[in-house]
Amino acid sequence: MNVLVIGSGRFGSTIAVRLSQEGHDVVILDVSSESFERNLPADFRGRTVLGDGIDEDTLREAGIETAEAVAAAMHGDNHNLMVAQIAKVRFSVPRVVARCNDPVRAELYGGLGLAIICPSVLGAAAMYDAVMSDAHQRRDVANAIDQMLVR
Amino acid sequence: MYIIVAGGGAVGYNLTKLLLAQGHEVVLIEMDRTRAQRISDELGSVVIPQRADEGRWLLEAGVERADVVIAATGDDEDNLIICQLAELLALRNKVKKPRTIARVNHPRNEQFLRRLGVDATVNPTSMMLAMIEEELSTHPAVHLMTLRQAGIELMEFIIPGISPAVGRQLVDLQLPPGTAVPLILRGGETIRPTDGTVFAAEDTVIVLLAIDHEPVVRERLMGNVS
Amino acid sequence: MSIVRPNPLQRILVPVNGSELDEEMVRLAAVTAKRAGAQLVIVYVIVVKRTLPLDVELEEEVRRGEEVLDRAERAAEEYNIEHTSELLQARATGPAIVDEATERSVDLIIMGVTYRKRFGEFYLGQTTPYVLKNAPCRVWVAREPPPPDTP
Repeated sequence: MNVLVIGSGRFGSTIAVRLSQEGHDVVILDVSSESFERNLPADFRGRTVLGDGIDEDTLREAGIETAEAVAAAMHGDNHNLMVAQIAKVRFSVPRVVARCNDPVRAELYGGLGLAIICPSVLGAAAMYDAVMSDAHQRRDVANAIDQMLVR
Repeated sequence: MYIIVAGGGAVGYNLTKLLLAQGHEVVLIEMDRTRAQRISDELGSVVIPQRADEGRWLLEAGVERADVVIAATGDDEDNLIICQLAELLALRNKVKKPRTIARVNHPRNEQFLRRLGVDATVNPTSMMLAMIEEELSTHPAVHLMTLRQAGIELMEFIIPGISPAVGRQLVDLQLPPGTAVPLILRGGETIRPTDGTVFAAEDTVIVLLAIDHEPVVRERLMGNVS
Repeated sequence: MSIVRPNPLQRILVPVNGSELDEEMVRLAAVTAKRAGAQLVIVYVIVVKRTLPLDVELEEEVRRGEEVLDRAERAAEEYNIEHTSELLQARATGPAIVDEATERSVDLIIMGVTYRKRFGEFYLGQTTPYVLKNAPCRVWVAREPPPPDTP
């Protein structure tokens, strides 16, 4: 699959690296080359493109016209929501996912038919589960220690 | 009317002031606390010192009874989201959708924002560009002939209405020495100008001038637009 | 020996909000007004949320405001001074008090502050700092004693 990931922070890079490792054609876009250097491994096989994610020329350069999926994973919610709409409306990308940290915006735009991932809500839910399932957590720790001892 | 202005930069602040002076009810949402404070010191309790792109502050600003929402921040993506949020919140709460107006800084985003539901966009850059292009396209200066060895050229100018030459005599323009104006075309009429000939808007003026003098002559006849 | 005296007080404003401090503040203001031969202005501010127009009719809030003002006026009557009361609707309390003081050429505002904590720290609220900063006249602020169990 041709995938365009926009934003090369920890979040976007993690997605790009995993997709690339699984054999997908990945392009990752960011305004800063430092982000690439900091967050992408040296053996990253995807293509990196420098530029602003809401600039259409940059998106074309990054191959949005042939992309089968776009993941908008920058820091700014508004940036991501705008890029997602450019990808969907302007370039008719079949699959578009946007990161949006603000739960209110995530809910409202989710209702519009955009796929939204809300890290703050997901992270908080995971943490809540970890806090509440005490027994489960202890079992995990015990398992981990067992494994260490076996090795 | 009840108007919500998002973004208290130069545009949003002056807009708020003008709208208040016209007797509208206005609230300004500005996230920079110092700036918000300064504006409310001047204009009274019309400022919410928060982010307009968070739905809760639009709700607190009373977006459900707003007639107009104006997104006037310096970022196109923020302005888009603010307008869309206003619309989505109205939709969710089943009230009349406010009219949304976005300031657009990058000309290319203008159409796209309208396509995404923003009712009206205002783009200072393309407005200025359009004005200049309008002046230039209807009032070109055309090089008719160049005698490079002699350093002389023959040019045609069409006088724009805003030109300082309009209503003035040829002699008053103080064209550089050696410049000759052999002919003016006005309507269907040809005029052989004298020192006392007065220029009118839309005159076509034929000028013989030294190539080096072109910028000066251009400015005297066309004004600063070119 | 003569001391420099400020101009004699003509008008004293005391804001009330229905708290337990109201009566104490009104009595303090009344005693001061009596000694100075000044008029007492008692003010109650109804804060109207922006979801509603400023001139909306809020029956419940108006009734409550009138009750609070009645109580304050009964206390003031004991001092046999000239007094008046005003029910205001505004977006925020501080600016309403300051505007009223300006309009009526008040020479002194006397206001009470409850001992409140927010997020573990003493909290003065928004109204008192606003009035202190913006009032066109003298301002006396009286704070109630902290509750006995305050560390």
